[in-house]
Amino acid sequence: MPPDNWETFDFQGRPFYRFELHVRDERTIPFNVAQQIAGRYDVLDVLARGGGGLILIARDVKTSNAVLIKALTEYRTTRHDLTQPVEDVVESLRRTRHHLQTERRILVQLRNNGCESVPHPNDYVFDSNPVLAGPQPTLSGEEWHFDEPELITSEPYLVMQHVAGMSLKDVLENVYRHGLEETVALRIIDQVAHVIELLEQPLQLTNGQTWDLIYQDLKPANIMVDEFGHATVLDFGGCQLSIDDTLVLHGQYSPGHCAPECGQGGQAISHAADAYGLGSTLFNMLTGQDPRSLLPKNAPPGAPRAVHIGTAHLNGRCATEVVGLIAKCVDWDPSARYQSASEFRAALKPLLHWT
Amino acid sequence: MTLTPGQRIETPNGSAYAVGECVAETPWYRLSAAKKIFSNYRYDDRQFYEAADDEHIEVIIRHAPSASTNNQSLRDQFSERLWFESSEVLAKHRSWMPESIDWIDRGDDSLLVMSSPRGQTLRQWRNSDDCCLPLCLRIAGEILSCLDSIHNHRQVIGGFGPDDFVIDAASRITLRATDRVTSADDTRNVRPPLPPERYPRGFSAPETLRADGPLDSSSDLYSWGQIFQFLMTGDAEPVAAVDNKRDAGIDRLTEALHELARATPQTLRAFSSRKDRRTLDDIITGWSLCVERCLDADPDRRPANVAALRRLALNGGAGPLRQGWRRLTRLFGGK
Repeated sequence: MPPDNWETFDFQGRPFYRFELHVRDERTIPFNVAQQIAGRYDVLDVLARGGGGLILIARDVKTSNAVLIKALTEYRTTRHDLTQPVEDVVESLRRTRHHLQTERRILVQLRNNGCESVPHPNDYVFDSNPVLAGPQPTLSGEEWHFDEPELITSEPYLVMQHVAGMSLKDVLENVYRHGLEETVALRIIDQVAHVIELLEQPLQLTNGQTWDLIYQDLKPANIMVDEFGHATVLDFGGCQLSIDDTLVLHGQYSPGHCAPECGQGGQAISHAADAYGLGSTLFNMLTGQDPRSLLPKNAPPGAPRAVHIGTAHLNGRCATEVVGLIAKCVDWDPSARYQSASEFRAALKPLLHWT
Repeated sequence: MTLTPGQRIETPNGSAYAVGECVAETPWYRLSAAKKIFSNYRYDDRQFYEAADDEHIEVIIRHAPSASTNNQSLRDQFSERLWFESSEVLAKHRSWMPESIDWIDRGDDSLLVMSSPRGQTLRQWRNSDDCCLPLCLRIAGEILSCLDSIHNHRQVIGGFGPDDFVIDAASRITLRATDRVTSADDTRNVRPPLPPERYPRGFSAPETLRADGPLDSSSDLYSWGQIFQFLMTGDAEPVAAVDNKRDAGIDRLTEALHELARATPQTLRAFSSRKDRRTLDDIITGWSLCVERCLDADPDRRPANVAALRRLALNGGAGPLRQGWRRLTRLFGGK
């Protein structure tokens, strides 16, 4: 059953849910979703939310299985006034929705290349988004409505395999507050590094384009683990994407977890940024210390949103070789780090005890 | 219904599949490779369109065998088992099995669309450079956890071999033989409705290969014992349960465990604790005894389930890793 605070209403003769989502600056935004998306997926609850998206838990009525559905939450649909072309809003919709399509393509490529540690993209469906129907306010206080039903009924949803377990962030905050055992942590980071290793292979598309991806937002909140220690990397919506060496998507990163070069000057970052993420995540797993807690309180505008991770915290918690591995990952100089996840995994392999 | 390469399947929900080659044909089912076709929306002309070929995800479709073409009864039985596989097997053991993606009814026929597990079979992997003994031990432990999950739902595989699991580059295993998982009866009075020919010879227990042999969790532990011996020694031929090959096989397994203890003693030490003070020799003896008992031709002399096997191998205590993960399990609702 869906949560009690979800309202129900009808739109175009079908039942929908409506609830508020908390966003930045203590604002809330309305979120609407069909009770049964695309005539197939019964929406049950919210699993998580983050940068512009929401993960819903739903039940597939065809297979009776639980699934996860990624939905978009934040559109820029505000016009300055009624003279601003509606096409500006349509372009904003197109860009935002394209991110979800890109995320699906990344998952497809990873799964087709043999990666079991990302959610399987089961379906990609479209349904109505009543919020878009309006009325929408302009900045000058007028109201307007979309008069194109095609845009309202083409809201995309990415349907994915339901992933068992809990986020690594929750594991570290609620179960292993002082960190995981070294062998368990190394097993988890090896699975995560394998995903990054496949992600960093350039994708040659049939249209002749070459895609280069950097995950960039590696952190425990984006990793699910089940009770057997299987790791699943979630949320590929923050990837940096370059097409034919041109930076197309800057992507997203998380202060405290990200490499220092992330968000600096709008330049493309390299695979070394993901080596940093692997090191900071491993540090977090071994110590239980969230790197965000090391962020300076009053950093000047434009300063890197990364932290200096001191390996002294690791003393006595793991082998000295593991300390050395992490130190090389979290060096602030990208050229001093492992230059790829393959290089990281090669260094990690002799340290895995495989127990 | 026969699926032919190049055929397109459309469902009432708007899903579409492009059928590829038939990748397996048995008297009980056929498997066809396929691609799920995704659609995108084009904003210039406000229209949906089919994504490019490299945007489609590769899947597997299990469908009825040729023998059922003109036999409604066989088709009904097949559909019933297929639904069991989708809803009771794939959906219940997701850490170890392909994902059930779609269920398609086409007239009297049913199709199950599953994710396509990638990687090498355990047999291929054992002969590759990726294989090492510490990892073999962990894989054997993973298979035990998979069996534990199956048995906890009162199900059994009945018999499996090294071609029934695939392992990916992150050493994650997936059971391919999900069609073989059936409901089990604790009393051993009911044999699941699958013929002996469906199970791999050599790796399956003697009762599995008899038409009237009742199956239970100990039948799976027989296969596990064979797999463990295979992984640790690389012996191509399974160890027979009924002749003197078994003793020779156990000897080779013991040698392999000693080799492991010499190369990476910490791997085996994880099965001991300060409290129980077991030596490496104790641990090796425990595992060898365990496999020997699993390979007994008499099911009553085998460990009855995974918990009993672990007790036998660990001499009454679980390994520290498992204890650690049990804390997580409790958090998930005390299962």
